[in-house]
Amino acid sequence: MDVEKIIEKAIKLGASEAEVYLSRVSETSLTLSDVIEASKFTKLSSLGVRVAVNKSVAIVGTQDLSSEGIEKTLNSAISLARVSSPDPNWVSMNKKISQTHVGNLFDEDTANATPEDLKQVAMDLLNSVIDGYRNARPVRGAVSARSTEITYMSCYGGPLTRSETLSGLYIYARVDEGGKTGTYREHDIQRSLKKLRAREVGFEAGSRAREFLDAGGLPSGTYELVLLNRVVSSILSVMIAPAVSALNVQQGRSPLSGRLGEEIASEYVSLVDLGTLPEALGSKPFDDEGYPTRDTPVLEKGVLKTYLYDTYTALKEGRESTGNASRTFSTAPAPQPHHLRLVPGKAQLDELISETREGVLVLGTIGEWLSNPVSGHLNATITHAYLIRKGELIKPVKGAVLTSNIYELLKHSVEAIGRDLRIEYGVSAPSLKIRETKIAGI
Amino acid sequence: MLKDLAQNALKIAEVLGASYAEVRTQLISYELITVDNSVLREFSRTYRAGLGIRVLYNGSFGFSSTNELDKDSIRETVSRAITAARVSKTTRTLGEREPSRGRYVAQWKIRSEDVSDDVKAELIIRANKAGLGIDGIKSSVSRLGIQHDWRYVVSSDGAELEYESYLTGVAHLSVAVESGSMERVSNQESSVSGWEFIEKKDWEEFARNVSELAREAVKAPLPPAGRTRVIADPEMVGLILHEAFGHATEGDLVASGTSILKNRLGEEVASPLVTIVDDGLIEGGYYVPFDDEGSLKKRTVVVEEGLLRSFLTNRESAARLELPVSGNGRAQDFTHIPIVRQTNFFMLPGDWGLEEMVKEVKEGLYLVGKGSSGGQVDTGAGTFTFSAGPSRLIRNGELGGLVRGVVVSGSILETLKGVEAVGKDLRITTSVFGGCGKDSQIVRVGDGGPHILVRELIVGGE
Repeated sequence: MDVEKIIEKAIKLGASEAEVYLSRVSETSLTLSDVIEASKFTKLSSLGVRVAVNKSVAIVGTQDLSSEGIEKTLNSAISLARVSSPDPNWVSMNKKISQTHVGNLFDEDTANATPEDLKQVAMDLLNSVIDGYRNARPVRGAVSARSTEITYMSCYGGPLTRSETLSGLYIYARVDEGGKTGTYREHDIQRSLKKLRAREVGFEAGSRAREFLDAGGLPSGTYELVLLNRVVSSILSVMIAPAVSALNVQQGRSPLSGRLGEEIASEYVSLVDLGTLPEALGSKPFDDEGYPTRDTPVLEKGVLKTYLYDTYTALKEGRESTGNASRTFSTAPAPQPHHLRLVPGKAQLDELISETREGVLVLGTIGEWLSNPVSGHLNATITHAYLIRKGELIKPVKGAVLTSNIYELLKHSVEAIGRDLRIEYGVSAPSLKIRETKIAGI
Repeated sequence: MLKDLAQNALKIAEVLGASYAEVRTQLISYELITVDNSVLREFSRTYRAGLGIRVLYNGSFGFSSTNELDKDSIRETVSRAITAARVSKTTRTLGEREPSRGRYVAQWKIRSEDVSDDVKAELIIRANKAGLGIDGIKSSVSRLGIQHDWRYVVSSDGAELEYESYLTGVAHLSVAVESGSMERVSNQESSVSGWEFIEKKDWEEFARNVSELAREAVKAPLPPAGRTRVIADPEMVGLILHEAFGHATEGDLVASGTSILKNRLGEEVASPLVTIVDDGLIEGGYYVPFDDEGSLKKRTVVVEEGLLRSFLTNRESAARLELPVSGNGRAQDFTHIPIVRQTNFFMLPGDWGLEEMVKEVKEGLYLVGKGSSGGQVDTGAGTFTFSAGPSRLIRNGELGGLVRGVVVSGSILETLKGVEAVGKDLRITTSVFGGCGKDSQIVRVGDGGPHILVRELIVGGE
C-alpha cells in the first residue's frame, strides 16, 4: 500500500495535516484443555487515518483496505474534521519524525511459526503439569506466536516501520483429591517462541495446584505482606500507569497532578519507563506518532520526576514529548508507558519471607483492575497466598480482600524490594515487602 | 458480495475434505465521539469487514480468518484452517441442533448514518458542559458510542442466518475534588436501538446527575470492612450473577473442569427464591437471536427455584456434557473462534418491595450499580469480586449515609444460597462501551434482575 499517496490525497482534499498508521498482525495460536482443543491462524491489516483541518481533528480506522475502502476512509475523515469543533489546545501533529536504535525486537522463526511448531511447545507445557504433581491435570491454556508490523507516516515525514514478535503461553492446572480442589494459573511471555519456558510453567502450575488443595480461609486481621513480583506488576499497571499520563494530569484526573519534585513514595521506590531496552517488552524505536522513544525515569528514590507525554500534551505545555504516544488504528493517541519498571532492590524473595513475623505471601489476586487510579484506592481479592509465621511459610490460604491507598502504601509501608524481576508485557517488577496492612477474610 | 464469499469458502472447505465447516462474515462499524473538559477530543469511526472459517477435519478443529476479501485470499484462509486442524489429534463431536435459516433485524427508527455529524458532536459537547458546570467538578469526559453490526453465518449442515443491529449509548465520567481528596463516578446508558434512543432522553440532566453523585461521593467515607448483609440493586444483581455464577455455568469451563459447578446439575446452588435465565432477546439487553455457530438462542433456564438445571453450551460442550445446544457459542468478531458466552443473564423477579427489604435490615449496605467498574471471577477456586458505585449504609431499617470505594467479594457456592428476598422489579441493561472478557475476547452482554437481599458478602473497606 502506498501510504504516501494517502497523505497526498488527504492534503489535496483539504486537510491541513494528515497522518497514516498501518498495522499488520498475524498470529498462530493453539487453545488447550488437557489436550490441544483447536488451532487458529489470523491475519489482519488495519489502517488509521488522522487528519486536522486547522484545529479540528478526526480519526477514521478501517479494515477494508481496497481502494474504495481507503477512499471512503479519507472522505469520512475529512468530513468529520470539517464538522468537529476546533480544539483550542491543538498545535500540530508531531514534527520530529525519527527513530531510536533499539536492539532486535523481531524473531523470524516466531513470525513464521506454524501450528506444528506451537504443538511441540504445547505438548511440553501439558506434559509437565503432571511432572509438577501426578494427580494434577491441565484444564485450560493457550500457546501463541504473533508478529506485528507498524508503519507510520505523516505530512511531516516518514514512512517509518517497526516490527516485533511476541510469543506467550498460559496454563490453568487443577487437582481433585478427597473432595477438595486445588487450582493454579501460570504464564510466560517472550519475544520468541523458543524462549518460552513451557516446562517450568507447567511444572509450577501442577505443583502449586497440589499445594492449594489444602488452602484454608484467611482470618480478617492485620498482616505484613510479601507481594510476589507478578502481583506487584499488575498493581503498577492499574494504579501508576494512568496516574503518570500527562493527559490525565492535565485534565484533572490524576492524584499526581501538581506534585512534580515531591517525594510521593519511599526512597526505596524508583520507577522508570523503558522505551529502548529490547528485553523490556513494549520497547520500540518510535512511538505511535513517529516520535523517537527514550527511557524516562518517572520516580527516582521516591521523588516524582516527570509525567509521560505525547505530542498533544507536550505542546500544550510548550515542552518536548517523551515519546509515549500510544494508539490503536482507530483511536486517538494518548500517553502510555512503553514498559514501566519498578527498579529491583537487593533482597532475595526468601529473605523477604524470612524477615516476616506474622504475614502473608500473596501469589495470586483477581480484581485488582477494579481499583481506582483517580482516588488511589487499591483493592485486590487474594485467591492464592501462604500464611507466614516467624519467617516460615505455614500453610496455603485463599479468599481475602486487600484494601489500601496505593500512595500511602508506597510512601509509608514499603519495607524492602526484592531482586526477582518478573517481566510482563508493558511492565516489570520484583517482589515487595509491605508493613502491616488490614485484610478482610472471605 | 460477502455472502457469496462465505458460500464460496464453505464449498472450498468441503472440497478439501472438511467433515464440517462454518463460515462467518461480518461488517462492523463503530462511531465514537469523546469530549474531554468541554473540548471535542476525538471523533472517530471504525469500519471492519472480514471472514472467519472453522472446520472439522479428521475430527479436529481448525480456524482461520482474514480481512483480505478476494478469492485467492479466501482460498488460502480455508486451507490454513485445514492445516490448523491437522495439529490436534483429539476427536471432537458436535451437539445436534436443528439447522435454522432466516434473517433477524433488531428494531430501530432512525439510522445513525441519517443523523448529521455536527448534531451528534453538539449533543455530546452540551452534555459534557452540563456535567462540568456543577460546583466541585474538576474534570469531565463524555462519550457517544454507536455500533452497527451485520453478521452472516453459514454452515455445512444447513444453517444460514443473518443479523443486523444498532447499539447506541452515552457515557459520562465526572471527577470531584474536595480538600485534597479526589473521586470519580461514571455512568452509561445504552440501548439496542437507533438514534431515537438518544433523542428521547435529556443527556445534560444525565451528566449533571453523575456530577452531583461524584460531588457527594468525594466527601463520603469508605464502608466498614467485614461481613455484612446487603441489598443489591438490579445493576448490582446483574454483576453478581454474571461474575459469581454466570461464568461458572459456561459449558466449556464445566467440561474442561475449570468450573466449581461441574457435576452439580440438580443440586441446590441457590436459595429457593432464585430462578436465573439466559435469554438472547430480552427487553433492555443485548440482541443475540442466534450465536456464531448458527444456533438459535432461546431462553435457557439455568437455575430454577434454587436448583441447578442446565449449563450454557455451544455445540462442542453440549456434546461433551450430553446437554442440549443452548446457542451460547459466541465470538468477539470474525477473527475469533466461538466460545461459550453468556448473552443476557438475569434473575427473574419475586414479590418483595424495596422498602420492605430495607426494613428487614438492622445493619447492612445498599449496593448501587451506578458507577461500578465491573468484576472478575476465578471459576475454579470459586471466588469472585466486583466493585459497586457509591452506595448507602443501612441502619435500623433505613437508608443511611453514602459510602464510596465499595468492593465486594464472595464465594460462588455460598452467595446465592444466602438470598433472603427477591424484589418484584426487573431491569436489564447493556453497554456499547464495554463487554465481558474471556480468553482475550470481549463480547457485548446484558444483565440485571430485581433488587435482592443477601445474607452476607465480604466488603473491603476500613
